[in-house]
Amino acid sequence: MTAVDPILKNCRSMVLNPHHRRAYLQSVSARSCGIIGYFSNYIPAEIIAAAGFHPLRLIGCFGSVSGPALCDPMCSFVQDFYATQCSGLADLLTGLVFPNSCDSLKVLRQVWQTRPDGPQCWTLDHPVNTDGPALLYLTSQLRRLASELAAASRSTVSDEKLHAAITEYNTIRGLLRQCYAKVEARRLRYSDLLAVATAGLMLDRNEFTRMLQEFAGSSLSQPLSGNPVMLAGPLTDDLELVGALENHGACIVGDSVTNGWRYCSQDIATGGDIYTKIAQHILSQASPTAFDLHRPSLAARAAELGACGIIFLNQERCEPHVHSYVKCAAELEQQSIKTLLIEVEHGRPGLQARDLMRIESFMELL
Amino acid sequence: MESSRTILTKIFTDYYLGAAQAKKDGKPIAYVTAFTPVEILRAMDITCLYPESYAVVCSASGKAGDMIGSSGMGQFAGDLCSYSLISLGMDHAERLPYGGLPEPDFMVATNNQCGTTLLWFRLWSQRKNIPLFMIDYPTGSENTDQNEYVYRQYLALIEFVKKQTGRDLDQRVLAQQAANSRAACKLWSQVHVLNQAALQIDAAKLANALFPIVAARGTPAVCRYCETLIHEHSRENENAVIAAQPSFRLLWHGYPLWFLPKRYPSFNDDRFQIVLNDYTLWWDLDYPAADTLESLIRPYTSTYLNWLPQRRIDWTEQLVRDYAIDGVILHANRSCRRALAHVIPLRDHLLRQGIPSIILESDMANPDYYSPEKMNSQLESFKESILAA
Ligand code: SF4
Ligand code: SF4
Repeated sequence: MTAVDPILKNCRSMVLNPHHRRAYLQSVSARSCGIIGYFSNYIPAEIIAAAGFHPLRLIGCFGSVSGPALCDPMCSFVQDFYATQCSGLADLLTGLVFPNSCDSLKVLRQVWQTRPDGPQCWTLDHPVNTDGPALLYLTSQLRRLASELAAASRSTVSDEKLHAAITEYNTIRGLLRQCYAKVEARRLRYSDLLAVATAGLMLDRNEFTRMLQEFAGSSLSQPLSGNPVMLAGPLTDDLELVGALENHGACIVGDSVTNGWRYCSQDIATGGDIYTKIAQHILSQASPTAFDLHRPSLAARAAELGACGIIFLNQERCEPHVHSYVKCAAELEQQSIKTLLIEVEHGRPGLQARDLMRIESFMELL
Repeated sequence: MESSRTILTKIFTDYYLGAAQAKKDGKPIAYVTAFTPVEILRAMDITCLYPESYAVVCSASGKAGDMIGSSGMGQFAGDLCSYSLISLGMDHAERLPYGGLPEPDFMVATNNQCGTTLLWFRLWSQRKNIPLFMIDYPTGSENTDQNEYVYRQYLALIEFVKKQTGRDLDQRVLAQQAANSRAACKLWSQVHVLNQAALQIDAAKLANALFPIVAARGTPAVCRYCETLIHEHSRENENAVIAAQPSFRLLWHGYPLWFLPKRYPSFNDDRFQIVLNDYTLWWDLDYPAADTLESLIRPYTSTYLNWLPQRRIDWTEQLVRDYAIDGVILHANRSCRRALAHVIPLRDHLLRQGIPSIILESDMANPDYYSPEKMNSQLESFKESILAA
């Protein structure tokens, strides 16, 4: 037993066990002015926190409640969220903040809004481009979100509060980057880091910072062996699958996933207009849903990490990532970077029999 | 006086031959999505082509399967929009209707109908290695900052086109285009109104009549076409051929089935007929009178698929009243995520109002998702529910 084992156990449980998560959030709810659930990196948790709410990234295993289904082509994450009635947390949430990104999430929001019950919904209408008009618009929408959340919590979102929240989250990002450096140096197991980083999106930020300080200080005594590969995809919370990849010979040296490196790679700058800085931060995010910075950044990241292969873990029926994958895979192959696509059904975690042979042959190929 | 058929053929020919000629003459060509503010592009003398409209032609010509197979989207095709797949397949499939579309110099995509268009056009422009301009329209009308934002993007579009082609915006042409679009949309809505009191224009004919308002909106020919249609089918016209009146008037909600010769499944019973497909009314765009660049904000921000579901539900309910509808068939089109958002709530709402309604699952362009047996049997029980109502 090492000093970080309890941290890992707790974080894994936050991600994999909906009952544990629920119990934790009940206690958070009792000591905060409410919990606001949000989707994607485009929603700045900093603004939610500055309004006095506990920001909760909606991620992890949602459990097995089986509710109504949305129409077929929606992605498996959105389907699972809807079928489990807001990931089983509807009664604990004060509200939900949606991004205006992929059509699956837009439809989820729209269907959710037609329900008479359930938490209140807000939308952060972020743009599809990254140019001047986009920056101005996003800045105005961030201000709008801040004032709407402040009204909901009967407080204000002052620049000071927002600045303080940004500093806290930047500290977390910095610590996560330290962990990523250790993963790259093979001194930290990637699946452990993913568990911690993902749980951190749900935990109280001060509590998480303390955990992360301890976790970032830990190191494996021997470097990990195995083929250096990188993970890519939208949200990646199937820890069992990631663990299975490692058990099959992959040494995951980094990622480009939304709840991993893409979350922590850059700090939000401070100084000047604080909303403009947050907008700039969002617009610089490499993601296939809105801004097309994803493709070039993937190859660059793979080269930086010395990865000889990229495993794409796409959510089933994820339209943005399919389009991105089709283009990326062809280009990466030309650069002699091998790729493997595994489609993940959000409500059905773990390694599926159909993927086992493909993973084994991919590892042999590397 | 020219018949509507002659005018339609002429608009069609002008569109395809005009594009081929533009290519020969070295004039710039843009591929655009269905709800692009083409008035701006035409005022910069750009030939605009609609891949979605071409996908309809390909589907109606029985080419959908081949083209989807050539799209390069392989195992993912089952999750994606058929229009996008057919278009992506255009670059590799053979023996295309009208020889295919001429290659574009750049593309313009908008998200006022769906997010798919952005993903599809981005991938396509990358494959073709040509520039793409994306216009972002905020969803829903609750957002008051959106006008300024859309306006700024229009200015950026003009700069983009200038950079690509060296051409400038002609304000006079822009005003003409906007005025023509406004008039054409009003007339297009009046064409539908013909069927409010009695069935005067066949639903398949209306679906086939959609092309001009989609692809040539802004040109004077579309107004002439709509006026002629109204004249030909109006009760005041003694030569008008008025169809036998159905006992039960149906509304087809959503996309037609373009691969079917009659665009909709048969009811095998003349008492039941479609008097309205609300899809063709999506092009009843709301242009204000100003005929300026600003006047193009509202029609393209407030497109049907950019409305929130409640507005779509309210609108359909109003149509049910205006057109004295006895039953609603909701086409759950697997291609189109955005159009699916409200389908189940709408069906439930209509049933609560006592209006017989049914959801039929299929696809607008890919016949692989059409099962005549299943649909016939669903329609049989639907007819029974109307008779029992
Ligand atoms: S997995 Fe893909 S489709 Fe689903 S919410 Fe995320 S980005 Fe959207
Ligand atoms: S059918 Fe739907 S998804 Fe396809 S292009 Fe049209 S609006 Fe977009």
